[in-house]
Amino acid sequence: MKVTIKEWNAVAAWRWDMPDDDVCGICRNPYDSTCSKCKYPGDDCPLLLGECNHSFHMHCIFSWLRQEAAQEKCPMCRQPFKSKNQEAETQDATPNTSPA
Amino acid sequence: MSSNQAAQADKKRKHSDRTIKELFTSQQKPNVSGTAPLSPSSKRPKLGSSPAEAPPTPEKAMSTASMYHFPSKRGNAPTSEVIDLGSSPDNSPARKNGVRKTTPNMAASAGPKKLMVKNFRPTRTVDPKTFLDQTWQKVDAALDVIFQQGKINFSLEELYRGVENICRQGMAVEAKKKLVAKCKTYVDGPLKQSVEEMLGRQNVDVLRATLQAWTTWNNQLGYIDWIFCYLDRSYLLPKQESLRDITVKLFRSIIFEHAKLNLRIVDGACDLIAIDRAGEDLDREMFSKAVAMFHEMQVYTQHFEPRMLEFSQTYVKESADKQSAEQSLPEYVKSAQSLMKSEIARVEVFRLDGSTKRDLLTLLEDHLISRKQTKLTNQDEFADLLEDNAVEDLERLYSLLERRKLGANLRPAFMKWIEDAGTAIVFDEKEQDGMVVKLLTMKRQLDTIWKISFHRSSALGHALREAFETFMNKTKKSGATWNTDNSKPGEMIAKYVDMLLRGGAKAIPAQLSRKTEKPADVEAEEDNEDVFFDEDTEVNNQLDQVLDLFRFVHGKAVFEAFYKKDLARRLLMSRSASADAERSMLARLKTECGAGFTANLEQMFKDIELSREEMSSYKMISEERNEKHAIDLTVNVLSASCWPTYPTVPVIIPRSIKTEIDKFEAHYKAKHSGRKLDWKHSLAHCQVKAKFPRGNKELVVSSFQAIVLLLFNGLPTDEHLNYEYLKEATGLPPPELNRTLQSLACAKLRPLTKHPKGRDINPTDTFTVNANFTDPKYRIKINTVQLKETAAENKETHERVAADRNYETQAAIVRILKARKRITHSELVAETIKVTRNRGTLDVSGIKKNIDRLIEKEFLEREDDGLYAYIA
Repeated sequence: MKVTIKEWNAVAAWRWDMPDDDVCGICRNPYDSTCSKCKYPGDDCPLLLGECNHSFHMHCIFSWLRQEAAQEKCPMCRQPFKSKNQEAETQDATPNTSPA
Repeated sequence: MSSNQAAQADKKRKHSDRTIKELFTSQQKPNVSGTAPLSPSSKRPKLGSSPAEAPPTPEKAMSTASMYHFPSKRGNAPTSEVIDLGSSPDNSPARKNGVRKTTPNMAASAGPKKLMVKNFRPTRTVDPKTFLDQTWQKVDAALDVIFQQGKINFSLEELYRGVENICRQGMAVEAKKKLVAKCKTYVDGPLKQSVEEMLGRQNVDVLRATLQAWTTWNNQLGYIDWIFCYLDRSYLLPKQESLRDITVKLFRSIIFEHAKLNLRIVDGACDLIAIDRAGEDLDREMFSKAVAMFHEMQVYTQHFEPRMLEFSQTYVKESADKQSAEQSLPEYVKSAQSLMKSEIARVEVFRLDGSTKRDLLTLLEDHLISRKQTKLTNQDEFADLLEDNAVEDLERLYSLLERRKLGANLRPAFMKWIEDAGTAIVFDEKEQDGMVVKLLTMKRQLDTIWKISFHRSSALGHALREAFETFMNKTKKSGATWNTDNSKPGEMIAKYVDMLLRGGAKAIPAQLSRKTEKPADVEAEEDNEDVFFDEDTEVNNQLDQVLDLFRFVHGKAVFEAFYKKDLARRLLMSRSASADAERSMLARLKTECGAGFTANLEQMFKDIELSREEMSSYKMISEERNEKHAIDLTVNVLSASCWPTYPTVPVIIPRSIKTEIDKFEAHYKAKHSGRKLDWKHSLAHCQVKAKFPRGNKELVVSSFQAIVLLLFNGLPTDEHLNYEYLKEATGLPPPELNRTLQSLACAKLRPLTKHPKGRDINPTDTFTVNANFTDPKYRIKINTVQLKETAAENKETHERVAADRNYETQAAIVRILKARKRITHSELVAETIKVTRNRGTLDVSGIKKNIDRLIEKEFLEREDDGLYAYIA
């Protein structure tokens, strides 16, 4: 007998490329879950990775940065928060969202 | 002048005299105009017209007057030169009126003329008394002849004249007295006797004799009428009497109201009805004559009607009692209806009074329906009818009850039956798979019954829905739901919908398919008159019906879980029969349960769509790069949160596939940074080309099946691979490997052969290629194992739904407390049930447990007065 595979229909589930047990530093929800305001995880509630390598739910970090007291610093390490450029460009949802 | 006007004048006087004058003049004016039509000027034309009309009147008047042989004193001598005063005495009072009326006072134009009287004789001197006696003798003799029914050999005219003259002599009173006395003796005598002779016999005979007498009497009355016409008209009429009344009254008082006869006569008529009721031949003519007689004697409502109703009552009561005791419900309804029909028909045929009809109907309804209500709404027999789907019998029953507006009283029995039957279907653990089909059939039957038999009564419609809701939401911890109290109907409905969407119109069970039902229930389905159905409409119809059932289910969570699982399978294996049907189902669910319910499902469709785009762009890129792909790869990338959770099964993927997958993953990661892919190989499926000793085939298999098959590549047919080797080579955990091997070696189509043969896979088994594998088709699907839900999966889904419900309940409790701050236990439980009803409620003890859990987690606390308080 000779068997050759002609066509392969694979199924994959995507998730954020983060360690499994890590949580967003602001809302303490898992990265794969939503920020505290969203209802559905996934594209609607993306992550944002800073240059300091701290990542948060986009909605979480935005509402943090909007506060006066935050002074546009990462809440984890107090460095000025900038999203990783190359990612900001490739991620369709967050091209221009880096706070300037 | 009225006081009003005076008062007005008084008022005006205060101002000035002039105004009073004005007031008076203004008040007079309308008066003048008001009397104007009466003024001579306007009267004139009226007068003017009368002379023109007048000339013919006198002549006419004369001709009438001449009948009385009486000359008018003032009258129109010129026209009648000779007047014969005739032989009749002229002191009749009637004459005066007539002449005066017809003599207008306008003979002035005629000149004086000489009046000649011919044959003049002085007024007759005959004594009126003697005249009466003489005349009466004749009349008396004639009456005797008439009463003896002898031959009329005398001149009726002469008699008439005689009577007339008697009356004119002012002796009408005596004439009447004599006549009445004469009649009385006759009626009391021979006529009554003829009836009394029958007393010893049957009532009917008495009635017959009475009728006979009545007819005779009526015939004789004809003569009497003729003879005494003048008496009737001139003497009795002004006194509001009539000869006919008097004579009929005589008959009535003497014969009909005779103590012995009365009852017998009336009963005779009633007996006739009884004969008819007994089904024997009714003497129709006699009965209608009797009725006519009663009417003429004006004893219908007084004597006949009550008696007849009394008889009818006993009869109806007896027959109702008897029939209700002896007959089954449908038979009873039938006989009750036919009884009512025949009774009413009789009333109509004989034109009995409207009042009789009404009373009889009331009586019938009262005895047949109201008093037999317990029989009619009897639980058991009603249930039997429903059981037999006896639409017509039910219709009859309902219409019968509805006559007394009692149709709604079927409600308890109706609901009870639906609940019992429904519960039996829902908890029938042996035939879980047929549940939805059975429920649909039952629903449709009941709908038909409701539409046709119950005339779309709203009360019963509500009952139908309520009962459905009750039993559909009955839960029982049973083996079927793995000891969770999930609603089984929810699950089964989801599965039924899955079957419809996978199979399309072909999957519709025969007993529900419209095609088979069409000839039988054409009238039943009046609102679906289209004869031709394309597949989509058919499927849509089915979906609508299933959704009708779904609406009754409270715990929608179970349905959602299973529907999602099945939808995922359909999407990933591309097993949907029609994308349109899928979408329309989704739209239906959205309207039914809201957007929140379908958000995940919509995301699933979106994911599949996105993946398709992703794949085409990926393929374009690889083409540009001139990359060669050994395998046609398609990847569906899912957003994990929207899809059911799938376990990641460890498996060793063949190298060729692995490289392809890795290439795609690299591409995907480059495109979407920050993401990674979890491969769900258990969901993958593939097409393989296989060269069997007996021909080439194309197989559609699951990924695991393909991986196992690949291991047999190039092996001679007699080389055995043992279980352990397969396990190592595939890296599959034993349960998955067992399933896969079983599907390849023990199912209907067997590309592999197991040694030794048997149904179950053992770790000691070995496998060879099945050299004899063949199939008429070129393309063979053997991945059904993947499509089927295993018991373990089912259990897992149920348990997950049950667990989710705990979380949902806790969330609901917290929400309630956030809103209320402090709340009593019973209130909290009630609110929680209300809030969670749509998704599925826990029982009270379950809610209690969750409250305890929340107290442990310090979301709430118990206060001293037994209230719960929210801890912020």
